[in-house]
Amino acid sequence: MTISYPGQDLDRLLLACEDAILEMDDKAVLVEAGDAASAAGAIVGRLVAAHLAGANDVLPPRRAARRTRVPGNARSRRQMLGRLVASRSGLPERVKVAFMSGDMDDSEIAALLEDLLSAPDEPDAE
Amino acid sequence: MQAVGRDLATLDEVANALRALSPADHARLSLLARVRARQAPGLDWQDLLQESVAKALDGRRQWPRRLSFIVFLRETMRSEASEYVRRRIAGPVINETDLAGSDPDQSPFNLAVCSEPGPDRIAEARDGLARVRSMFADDQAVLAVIAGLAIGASPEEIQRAATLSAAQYAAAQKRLRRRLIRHDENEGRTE
Repeated sequence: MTISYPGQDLDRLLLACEDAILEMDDKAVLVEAGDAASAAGAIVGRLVAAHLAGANDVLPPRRAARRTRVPGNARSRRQMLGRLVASRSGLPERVKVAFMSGDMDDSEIAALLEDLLSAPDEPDAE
Repeated sequence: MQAVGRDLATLDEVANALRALSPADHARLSLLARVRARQAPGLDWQDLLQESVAKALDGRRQWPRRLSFIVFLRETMRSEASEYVRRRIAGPVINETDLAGSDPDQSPFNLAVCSEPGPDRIAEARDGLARVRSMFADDQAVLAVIAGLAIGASPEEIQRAATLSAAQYAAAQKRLRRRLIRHDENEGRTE
């Protein structure tokens, strides 16, 4: 046997009214709501914006998210370091000289690229 | 993307669903919040909507995929309004850690908040229904609709019991809905 109490009665009444609201067409519901529609939209918009702003706080910086990876083969690694040497004025002179002389082996190039590409404030390598 | 559960939408999906709401959806949410705030005198409909959306966004209320998003928010507001009434009557839930140093003869179970409605909550609900009825003291058709809906009767059963035509029933239901929505702005808060 189901026990009914006034709270359930009121809840059933409100649910029936809510069902009727859900069944209203768009035009009727906009007329019925009046200014409250835009107030509700503002509440939703504000909360979503705050949520997204909060989510961005914990995301890596945009540059880090699209950070260039060290190429998988020696030829590409050498080409990338060549571009970096040509485009970055802040690289140590010894690195430039070593690269231009052709004395750097692939393992040194790979390690140097890893360091250069992992620096958070470096410009893109491409 | 945070997977919240097998049958539950992720938090990203909740955010996307909120962003996809149309002006008509915003209108529906405002009406649903205004009607549901009727259950909890003192609770502003905008506060109810805001709290519900905030809890959906941070995962405290989880969206079952089987429900449309609007229905999920309706159920969230329904639950929030009920919780508001419970807190107002019963006070805050007492944590076990707060009981240290209390009378050792006092059982913690006697202090626990019960989810079943107590006398105060029943009285509050009875008052709520009485307030709605009092708004239609001179409208017998709406009173019949209220009485029928409150016991879960179908529209046909209500029409038969109150000898209302389908058109009369629809008109009475519309008057009921509009009055519930506009009660606050026309007549002030009921508290």
